[in-house]
Parts: sequence; C-alpha cells; structure tokens
Amino acid sequence: MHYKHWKKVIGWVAILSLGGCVDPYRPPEIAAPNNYLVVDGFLNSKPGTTTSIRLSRTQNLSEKNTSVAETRAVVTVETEGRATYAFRETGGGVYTLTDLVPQANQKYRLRIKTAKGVEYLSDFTTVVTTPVIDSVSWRPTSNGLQIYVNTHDPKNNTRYYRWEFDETWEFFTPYNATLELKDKQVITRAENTYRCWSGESSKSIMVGSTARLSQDVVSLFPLTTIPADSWKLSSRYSILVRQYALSRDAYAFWEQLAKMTQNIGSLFDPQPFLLTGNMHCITNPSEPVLGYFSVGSVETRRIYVKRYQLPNWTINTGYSFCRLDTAKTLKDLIEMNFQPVSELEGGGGYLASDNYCVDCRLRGTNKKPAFWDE
Amino acid sequence: MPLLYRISALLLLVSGLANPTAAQDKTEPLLNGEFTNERFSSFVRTVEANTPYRFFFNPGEVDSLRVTLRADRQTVPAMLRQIFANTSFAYAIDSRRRVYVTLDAPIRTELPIGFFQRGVDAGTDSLLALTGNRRKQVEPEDKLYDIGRPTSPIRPGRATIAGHVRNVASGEPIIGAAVYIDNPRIGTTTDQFGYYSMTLPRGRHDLKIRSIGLKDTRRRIVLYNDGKLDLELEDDVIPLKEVVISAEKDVNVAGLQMGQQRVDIRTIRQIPSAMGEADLLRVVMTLPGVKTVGESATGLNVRGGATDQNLILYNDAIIYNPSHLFGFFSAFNPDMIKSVELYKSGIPARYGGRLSSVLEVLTRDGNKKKFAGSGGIGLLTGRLTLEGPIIKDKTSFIIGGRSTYSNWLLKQLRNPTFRNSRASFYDLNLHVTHDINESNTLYLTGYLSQDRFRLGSDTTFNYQNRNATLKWKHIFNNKLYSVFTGGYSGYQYTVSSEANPVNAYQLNFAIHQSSLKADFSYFPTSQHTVDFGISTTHYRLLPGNFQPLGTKSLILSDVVPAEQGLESAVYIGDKFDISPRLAINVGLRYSLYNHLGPKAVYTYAPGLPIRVANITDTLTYGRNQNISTYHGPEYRFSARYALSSETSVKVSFNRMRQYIQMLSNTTAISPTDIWKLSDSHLKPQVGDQFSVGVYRNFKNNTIETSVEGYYKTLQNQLDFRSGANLILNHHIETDVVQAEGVAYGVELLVKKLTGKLNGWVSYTYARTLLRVQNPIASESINQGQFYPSNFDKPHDFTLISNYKLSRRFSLSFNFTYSTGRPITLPLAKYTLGNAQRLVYSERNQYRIPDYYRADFAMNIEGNHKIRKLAHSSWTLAVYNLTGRRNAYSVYFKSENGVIRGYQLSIFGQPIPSVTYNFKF
Repeated sequence: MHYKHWKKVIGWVAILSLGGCVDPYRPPEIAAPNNYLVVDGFLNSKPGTTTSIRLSRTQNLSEKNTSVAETRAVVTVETEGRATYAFRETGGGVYTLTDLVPQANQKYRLRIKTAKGVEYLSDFTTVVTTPVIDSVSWRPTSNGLQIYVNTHDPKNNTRYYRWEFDETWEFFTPYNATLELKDKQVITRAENTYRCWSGESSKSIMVGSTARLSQDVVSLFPLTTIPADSWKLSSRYSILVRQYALSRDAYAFWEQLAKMTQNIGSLFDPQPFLLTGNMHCITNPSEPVLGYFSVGSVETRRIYVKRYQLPNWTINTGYSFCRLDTAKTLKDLIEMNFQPVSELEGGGGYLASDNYCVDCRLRGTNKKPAFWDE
Repeated sequence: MPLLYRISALLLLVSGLANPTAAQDKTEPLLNGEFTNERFSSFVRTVEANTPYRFFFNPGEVDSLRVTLRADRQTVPAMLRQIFANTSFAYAIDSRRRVYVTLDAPIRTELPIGFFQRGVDAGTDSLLALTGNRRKQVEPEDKLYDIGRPTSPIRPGRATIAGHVRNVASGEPIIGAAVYIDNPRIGTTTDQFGYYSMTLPRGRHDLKIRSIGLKDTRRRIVLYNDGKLDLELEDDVIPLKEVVISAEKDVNVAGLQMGQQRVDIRTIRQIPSAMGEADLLRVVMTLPGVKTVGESATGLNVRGGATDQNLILYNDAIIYNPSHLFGFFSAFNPDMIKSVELYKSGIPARYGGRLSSVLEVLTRDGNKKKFAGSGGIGLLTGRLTLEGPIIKDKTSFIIGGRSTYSNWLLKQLRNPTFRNSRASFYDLNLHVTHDINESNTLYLTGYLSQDRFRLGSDTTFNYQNRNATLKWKHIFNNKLYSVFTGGYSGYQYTVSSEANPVNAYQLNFAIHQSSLKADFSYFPTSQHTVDFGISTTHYRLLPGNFQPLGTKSLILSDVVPAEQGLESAVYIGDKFDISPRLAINVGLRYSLYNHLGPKAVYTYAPGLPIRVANITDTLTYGRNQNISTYHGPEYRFSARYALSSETSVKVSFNRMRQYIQMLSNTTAISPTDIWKLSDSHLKPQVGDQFSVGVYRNFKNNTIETSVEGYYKTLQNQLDFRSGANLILNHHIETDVVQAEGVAYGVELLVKKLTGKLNGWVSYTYARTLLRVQNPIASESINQGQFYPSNFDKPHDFTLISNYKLSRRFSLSFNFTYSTGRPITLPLAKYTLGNAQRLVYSERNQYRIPDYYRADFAMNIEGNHKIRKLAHSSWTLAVYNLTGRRNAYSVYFKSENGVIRGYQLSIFGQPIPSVTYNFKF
C-alpha cells in the first residue's frame, strides 16, 4: 500500500518536472497578401485509369469553409515532344484526363492557364513506376492495432515511397430491429439498419526512403495505429493501402511538408518555411505555387482484420448508453421517442430503444462496399 | 630574486666573554661580537648563552626584526637600546634580568604603586599592565613584513612585490581579490591563480587586501627590494550581528574591464532553478546582454551572437555541450565551481576563437590543509565532492561526481512510453594542484560527462564531453610568470535505433581538439601589465559516421570524411595606467587558420547557386596538405577615464575571428548538432564590437550602476537554406548560407552585493538582425532584407534578489521578463494530401508571446557552530511561482486533416523542489 502510494508521488513529481504542457494557440489575425494556386496533381500511368488533378487556392487561416476551387482553368499535359493532352473540367476544381497512358521513356509537364490568364508550368517529370506491395501486416501492440506496409524493389532503384490508405470497418448496432416506427405506425423495417460500414481516408503524409539501405526493402513501415478501444475494431476492419513510388525531389518535397505540418512540436523543431514544389508561375516568377506534380503508377493492397483475431480489448463502441425498454402501447412508444426493436412475446407491447441504437446509418452506410467479401 | 629571505649570517662570536660570572649579579656582563642582518631570535640565543639575561617575546612579532650590530664590550641594555631604536618595539628589563619585548608599549616589570589599594586609580599609565588588556595571539596584521633584502637606509625608487592570495582554511587561491595601497593609490587584483604582482615605491606601506565573501585584511610591509609576500584571507564567517560591509569594492568604476561579469558560487547557489540544483548557466542567463531562446535551452546568446559563438572554458578546456538531459541541467557540478566570468566586450587579447563572449568557468582547488567533502541530494540528482591534501600544503585534489536517478523514476511510471524511456547522465570532475616549489605549480584537470536518453523504446541518444588539461605555471621572477597549457577537448554523440532490425543503425559524430599554449604575464612597472603568448589548436572532426547495427540491418554505411584544421595565434596586450584617471588596454591578436587534408573538395560553377547540380570538379588533397588558409589581426582596445572616484566612462573595441561553427537549424541547441570547420566554401566568421559605458557607484560603493551600449557587426554568420539537411551531408555548403549581421543594444544594471538585501536589476534593449544577400534572387532570404535572428528579443528585464532574514534563513526572489522570440507564422492554409497545410510567412516576421516568470527560494542553513560533523543546508524553491505557461515554441500541426495551433510550454506549472546540501 505504502509503496504504491509512493509510486504515485514519484510519478507525479517526475511528470511535473519533465512533462511540459501543450495549449491551443491562436495566431494573430493575419490576412494573407495573396491567394496562391495549389496543385494536387498525380498523373496515373496505369492504362485505363482516369487521372484527376485538383486546383484550389490558399485561404486565410480564419476562413471556415473548405478550400476554394480554381475553376475555368485550362489544364494540359505536355510531353517533351510537345504533344499536348487537355484535361476536362468536372467541377469543384477537379480536372480529369482518361485517354493518356504515360510512357516510361517520356517526360511530362503540367501547364495551367487560369481564367485570369495567369500561366503556370511544372518542371518536366519522369514516369516513376511503383513496385507492388509485398504485404500489409498488422500486430496488436500495447497501444492498439499497428498496421505496417512491406515492399521491395528487386531492381533497387525505387528508393522513395509514399503511402495513403483508406480504412473501412463493419459495425453493428446493439439491437437488430425488425420493426420501425414510421408515420406513427409500427411497420416492418424495410432496410437492414443493423449492419453498416464506415470509412476514413488517411490524412497525413507517410513517406519512407530506403536510400540508406543496401537493398531497396521497406520492412514494417508503420502506417497507422488504431487505438485498442476504437470502434473501428468492433467487428471487422479493412484497410486499403496505396503505394506511390517517388522521385528523389518529390520525396524531398513530401518529407519537408510532413516535417513542417505533422512531426512538429518537439524541443528541437526546424524552422518552418514556405515550401514550394515543382510548379512555377511563368507570368510572375516571384509568385509561389504550392503542390507537386508527379507521374507514375499506384499499387494497392487490402487486408482485413477480424475482431476475434485481436486480443480481448474493451471496445468503446459508442453504444454503451443503449438500453432496451418496453413500450406497452404505440402511444408509449411515440411518447418515449423510441424505435421498436421487436414485439414482446405474447403481444401487447414492444421492446424498444433509441433510434441511434437501432439505426446504423446514423454512423455509416448500410450499403455493402463493392470490395467487401463477406 | 630573494624570494626567501636569507641572512648572510656571518656571525663571529663572542670573543672572550667578560667575567665568567661568579654569581656576580651586580656586574653587568659585557659582550663582544658582530651581528650582520641576524634574526632577533638568534641574537637572543647568543646573548642567553653568554649572559644571565633571559628573553621573553612572541616569536611571531619579532620575526621581521633583524639585528645588525657591532658590539665591543657592550652591556646588554646598551645593545638593546641600539637594536630597538627607531622600531615599533619596546622592551623592559626586570630586576632578574628578564627582558620582555613587546610591540609599541613596554611592559611594566613592577606593579604600580598602590596596585593593591582597590578603588584607587592606578593612574593613567601608558604602560600595559601584565594582567591588563588581554592581547590576542599575534595576527599577521600586526606583523611588520620586510620585503626584499633589507638595506639601510631604504633605497629610493620602486620595487615589485608579488605573491599568492589564498584562503587560510583551505589553501585555495582567491581570484579577483583587490590588493592595494592607499597612498599613493596603487592597486591590482589577483589573477586566476590568485597571483598578484605590484610595483610600489620602496618604503613602508599599508597593504590592503579585499575580496568579496572574505574578511578584509591588511599587511604592514617595508618594501626594500623585489620580494614575495603570500597573503592569506579568512572566510567571512557570518557574524553574529549583521555587519554592513562598506568595503571599497569599486571594481565597477575603477576597473578597466567593461562588459565583464563575475559571478561566484555563493551567488549561483542563491538563485532558484527549476530542478533545485544550483545551475551556473541559468545564472549567467540572468545577466544583462545574455539571452536564450527558451527554457531548457542552454545556448547562450550574448549580445546578439549565436550560441556557438561563446568560448566556454572549463579550466582552459572547451566544453562543446554544456548541458545535460537536453538542457534541463547544466554540465557543471556546482560543488566543483569557484566562479564564472563572462566577457561580453573588451575581451582580452589572450582569448580568441569565438565571436561573442568568453565564459570562463574555474574550478576550486582542493583543500590543501584538511580533508573535506560536500554534496547534495535533489529530486532528480545527487552529487558528492571530496577534496583534501595529498601532500599537505603542497598537493591537493578535488574530485566530484554527479548523477541522476531519473531512470529509476521513469521505471516507476505507469505510462508504457515513459516506462520504456531512459534518461540518465553523470559527470565526473577531477582537479589536482601540485606546488612543486615556490615558483612552479602544476594543475591537472579532468572532466567527463555522459548523457543517455531514450524516448519510448525507439531511438537512443548518447553524448559525451571529455576534457583534460595540464597546466604548468612557472614564476620566472616577480615581474614575469608563464603558464604552459596542454589540453584535449572532445565531444561526441551517438544516435542509435534498434526498434526495427532491418533499419537498425548507429550514427556517430565526434570532435577532437588538442591544444598547446604558452601565456606570459609581465609586470614591468606599476603602470604596465603586459600579457603575451602563443597558442595552437588542432581540430579533427568526424562529421558523421552512419553504420548498420546488428546482422539483420540493411543499412549502408555512410561516412562523411573527417575534417582537420589548425588554428594558431600570437597575441600581446598591455594594460597601461597612464594616470590615475586614465587607463587603457591595447592588445593585438593575430590568428592563422589552415584547413588541412586529406579531403576531397567540390568546386562549383561560378555565378550559379552552390548546389549539387552545379558541381564542376572535385579536388583531392593529401594528408596534412593545406586546403585553404585564413588569417587576420584581431584588435582589442579598451580605455577607462575616471570622472570622479565614483564615476567613470569606458570605451572598448574588439575584433574576433572564429574558425569553427555549429550547424543547427533548430532554434534551441540540440545535442545532435554538428560542428563544422571553416573551409574553402565557408569563410571564417568575423565580428567587430564597439561599446561605450558609464559606471557610477553610490553609497560607499555598495551600489553599482552601469549603462553600456554596443554596436556589433558580424560577417559570415551561418544561416540555413529552407529545409536544409545537415546530417550526413557530404557537401554542407549547399545547405548553408552566410549572412551578415548587425547587433546593437543598451544594457542597464543596478547591483547591490552587500547588506541584508542584495541582488541586481537589469534591463536590456537589444536587437540582432541578419541579412542574406545574393545576386541570385532565389538564394536570398526574405528578399535580401534584414530579418530578426532567432534570438532577437528586444526587451529584457531581470530582477535577482536575496534577503537575509537572519543568519540562517534567507529568501530569494527572481523575476524575468522578455519579449517573445521571433517565429515564422502561417499566413494561409490549403489542402494537399487530404489534409490542411500551411503557407508560412517570411522568416522570423512574428513573435511568440512575451515571457515572464517569477521564482522563489528559501535557504535554511544549519546551526552555525563552527565545529561539527557536517554543515548542512536545505533549499526549498518554487520555480515559476505564478505557473505561467510561457511559450517555448508555437507550432501548427495538421491533425486529422485540420490545422491546429499549439503552444508548447516546458514548465507550465509552479515547480517545487527541495535540495539537501551538506559539507564536512
């Protein structure tokens, strides 16, 4: 007992003396002098795919709405041989191109002419072919489910990689309702609202390099950690990993961007700065352009992890407050603002619960994703 | 020189004694003999051997008394009359032929008439009664010291007196003690060995010695010729009643030094620190003109200089990383330190190699008289120091160690990240002093510090300082002495990671620096003090060695080739007291630097940015082949003009050159920063500083005030290209830009060092600006305009105070305010890679919130019995009393696709600490 108490004191003292604290900080209101053009561009070299490039503008920090799309621009891709391919605007600042299959021996560049007549051009970019993903592996750790990616290039010349992923997970409401209260009537539930899927895309930059290794091998690159109590793990979890091979310059760009916006907040941070990529404004050379244009292929791989494969973690499903109640009559049901789950045995009432606890569509979709194989 | 007085004792003796004394008491014995410069004691022996006279005297009192006498059948009283004429001694002979020799007044050999008649006034007798006025044992103050071989009469002209000032209890030399006479006003202060040398008019003087924290004393001397006098001072034991010391401690006004601050260990101990342990660097940071980028950052920015521009000397060895645990502790063990001296301007010619400042940390010499120890236990660290004589009064040692038990603390934590983390350090110090003889002394210092840090179970950081110096001090004569120093300073770090066996690696960096120097101090006349010397330093840097760790690792080894350089310098400086009002110090240092092979050097296409793409050629140089040479004079000048005895004006100019620099693109010094020698692409840094100051003391010199202004220009400062990569970079010149800098400021200081309430208040206004101009627009930073450097903090206010409630309790209170340091803030946001990203402003255009902090400490001393087993004291301190969350940094992070701004504070709450210190 005494010892335990001591431990607490010691822990407290140590945290007090070593642990700093982090508070939210609101920067002074600074109005940016300009809205710079942002190019989110990747030209997919795989035959039959549609490449889309997204153009937007920077915004003031205080602006709440999502980014401003750059519309009515003329976007083309040129080869060194001066062949040009025009993108088609599909709305929301997105421009697509389907009929181009970049050739590995060619170099491409992106040309943008905005509605205002300002012209932007990228450097010539080589086509970078991405090796296949060897595996996406996982391991339960004390913090949760750790997902890794493994790949290699037998030719030893890829060296620089970037990954993105999409997560999808299956989940169930606590009660499988067969009935539904609709227009003050209890009817048979038309749709299954018991089993749903939800998803999320990666929101951080993950880059890795094997430049310092004797072989071009990426082993157990940590992609993400899903906390042990996450509702993503309540039934079946799936992750799709996209792998992009990068040129050395593109890697430098993404790595710097990651350093400045993600891996920051230590005692020894490098100075942040205005990072520009391989796009330039040719009308006004001093105007910075943000983003990076690259050409290459993408490799993907999907894995599934089922609940029973994981340790017996306590999941915070978000449904822990749900209770089943009985409603004697339809009137009770309406007054309680509950949804019926099933009729009480022998009739004369319903088992009922909150709508949230029976309708999974409130947190996802009940349409099974096309890839879901169960 | 007659350092030891030796009598040319030619003693021919007692030819034929008069009457072989057949109890003939009444007949006076007659003596024959010749005494030449004979000690009084040996004269007494002769007389006692041949006559019934017996002498009573205090040997200490008469040891300066010499007898030169030719006796030709003389009586003893007649001889005594002759000997004591014109001295301050008196003598009395009683009826039994006992001779009493006393100072000043003779003893009465008979009781005064009416002695036994109580109540009757014995008369205002100038004689001292035997029983009266208990004379304390003779103190050195009462003695009259003859300096030099006595001559009679004293010859006109001047002579030099020199010697060491030491602490009587420990034999430790005292630095900066003032040794002076009042009439004419001539004085000096002791140097780092406690040595002084002073040329005075021959004759009688009252030599006064003062030093802070020690009892003032004086010596009566008769200066016949050049001679030596060692002085011993007593500790100023805290008196039973508070005494206001109104010493003439007027160094502020009278000294020639400007921009110099000395802090002794007593002051350092009074100032509360976050970890409860006296921290030298934190105290230095409270001095005007010294700034730091944030809490836990140990880098000093002195008058607008970068953190690598400080020459941090620990007994003449350079310390490359003066911090432990990423800056939470300083690398100096407080029990080992005697004092620290910071030069911000007017840097003497004997120092060179860094632009901004010299921070000289001096260790204590071990106790030469007895064995002693001290130590302390704090919340995170423990330390122990032992010292004592190896050969009494000749050789002493002091050894100290310090370590932390933070590893044990971390293991107790629940959080697995913390539990798997490690943070430990230790440092060891050894200092041995050996007096070979009066004019030769050897000093050996060794220092080792080691840090190990691991967060979670991932990357381990490991760094180490290693230093050794051997100094030989040789006194040629009173006017000239020399110090020969050989030293080695090393710093290295290792970063390793074994978390993933495929990527397991180890990265090493190391600096090895060996130096040799000879320094001479020459005191030709009382007006001149000349310092000159020569030095050479060899550097060997291993900029990066990247190796696989373990058999599974696929890491390719990558070694950045070693760099070698040789820095040599000669210097001469003269401190010249032109008149009592005007004194100047002129100095010239000439430094020469050679960048040496073996090395492959890239050449770049002229007129194009220095980029890998523009490499045109690679030149290969052989071993010790000269690659590039830089050299130049460094001028040092300072002058003082006394407007009155309380006011003076000082000006100074100095130029410094620096050939080794730290590469760091983080704001705070990180232990993994690398150092780089100047080479064909990186020119040496050059800094010029002009400063002027007005100094005035008030209230008998108990309050010192000063106003100092400075203007500095800096050439070839290092700044970095945006996104510079510094680690394992084989062509660092492609990521570095050389900037020009300007720094200016005004420093105000009011200091009170004595009395119940002491401390200082300082205010500084200072700016530091850098500019990178390049004809190629893309190579400029902020369009070639001046921009604030990372440590440009214009306003700075510091209050350090200590109040002695009683002899055993004292309270300390500190307050610091400073403008927030410059940062680069985001101006706009955009979406890329599924998350919000930021557009940053030009470099350093905004500031983090202002910094202020108050600290409080209470020192409780044990009882003040002088003799007891151990003296102990407790320090209770609260750091950051108001718990203000001072921003250490501000950063913006993309989390879940959304940008959030954060402010990181290191000590965001009041931090209490308890430290127990002991001494035995």
